[in-house]
Amino acid sequence: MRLTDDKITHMTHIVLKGLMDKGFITLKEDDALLRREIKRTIINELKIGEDIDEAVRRKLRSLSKKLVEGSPEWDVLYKKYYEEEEVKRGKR
Amino acid sequence: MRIPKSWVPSIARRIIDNLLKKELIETAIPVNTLVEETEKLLIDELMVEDRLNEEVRHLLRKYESEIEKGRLDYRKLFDMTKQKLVKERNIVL
Repeated sequence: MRLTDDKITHMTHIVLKGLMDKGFITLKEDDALLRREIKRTIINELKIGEDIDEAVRRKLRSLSKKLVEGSPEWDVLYKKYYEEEEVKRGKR
Repeated sequence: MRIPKSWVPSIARRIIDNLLKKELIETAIPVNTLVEETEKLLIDELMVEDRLNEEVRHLLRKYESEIEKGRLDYRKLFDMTKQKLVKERNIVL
């Protein structure tokens, strides 16, 4: 799932509004500050995803057999290595 | 930036833990329930594009024969229809 900056900002509004409207939370600070915090958390997580993607691609490039991106074999190995990296980084 | 859907529970957990740790919110419900509610909101928002794509695919079924005969370009039609709906409904993708 690809996320644009606008989408992330929008998601911070949705989360905060959703939780407030249902009376689940009360804000102790300005909502702009809270939205910034939520956005920062989401972006940090996305960066981990990018790091994993880069690590997996590096691993695929280092294989002696050169695979074409998007080929069935590439896709299978990408998924396998991605899951391995997720486990390594405690995401699974 | 990409995000696997399987990460949503841990993202929801991090968001709530962070807001509570920094004392930016007070919760009226148990923390685990709050995390679950956050997760639902995130998933629902992340699914907006999937639902829209499905709707466009459904709408384009009526042009199936023209597309098969090569009179219409499916990709082009798909993108145009999607953009039209995004604009009409003020959807953020």
